[in-house]
Amino acid sequence: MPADEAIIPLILAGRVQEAFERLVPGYRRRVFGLAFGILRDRAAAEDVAQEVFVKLWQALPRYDGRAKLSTWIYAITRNTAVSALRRRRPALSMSDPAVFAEAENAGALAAPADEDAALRRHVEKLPEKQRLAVTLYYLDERSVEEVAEMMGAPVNTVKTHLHRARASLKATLGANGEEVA
Amino acid sequence: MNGEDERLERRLREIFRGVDTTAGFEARVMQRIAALPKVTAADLRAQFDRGSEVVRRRLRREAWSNAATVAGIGASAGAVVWRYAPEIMRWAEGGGAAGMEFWLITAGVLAATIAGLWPFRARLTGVL
Repeated sequence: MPADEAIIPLILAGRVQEAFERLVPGYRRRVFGLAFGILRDRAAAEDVAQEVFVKLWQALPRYDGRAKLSTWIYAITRNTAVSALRRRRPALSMSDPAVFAEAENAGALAAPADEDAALRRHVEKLPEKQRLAVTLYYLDERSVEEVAEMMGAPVNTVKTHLHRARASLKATLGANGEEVA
Repeated sequence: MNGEDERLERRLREIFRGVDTTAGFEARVMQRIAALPKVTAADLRAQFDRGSEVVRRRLRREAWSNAATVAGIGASAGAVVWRYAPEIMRWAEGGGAAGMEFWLITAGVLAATIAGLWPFRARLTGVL
């Protein structure tokens, strides 16, 4: 966990520039990971991550220390990513032949040339909350507690998502004749 | 955790390894911040004035609403007294008022005073 105990006093003392210079490297990968988990697109996730840090820059002078810094940052990230996802979705339509073909190919049962690509494809097909939990948990080998904080969900709920995701992946990989290893 | 589970764990960690921002991310963040419009003292003053005007309008609306409420209560009480004037006169002449305890009358007067002044409590607490 980034050294919030070093950042918060700087914010409260009005030394926003110094606080921000510590905050960006400390939270860069977490903010990006959370955005990536929601958007599933690296370029879009990076754009959202930049937008989040710009928002934090503007909001830091108003941070009063009542909310936990990490919880506050993750909430801004979730909201920004979901807004970006809503802006993108109307552009995709199953009536578009290219989009339909891509969706069809994503469900192909042919033996994949790249085993990792096959596992990624199966992860992409997981229900949204399970996919997000898996992404956040394995992206940086984070604890379940931190994943729960990033998702804004109870710890037991995250454990359930991870358990069901693993079971689903094992079953899917087995049904397709793919070995887990 | 059995062998199959361990292998799945290892593969899941592997597919997410290296998922990160591209080089120069922090520099691009600072560029976006540098490109933000600068807020001047005049902007802050205008924002404050707009906020003050919104508050003033809301207080004016509340004052009219409170005045209408008091007038409505007063008109209703007057209408009740007008309608039942003969009964009230008979009660008063029959010694009904004299039969009441002093404190009941006092409590009634106080309640009526508080009800009448309630809409103006904000201004009164500021004065007191």
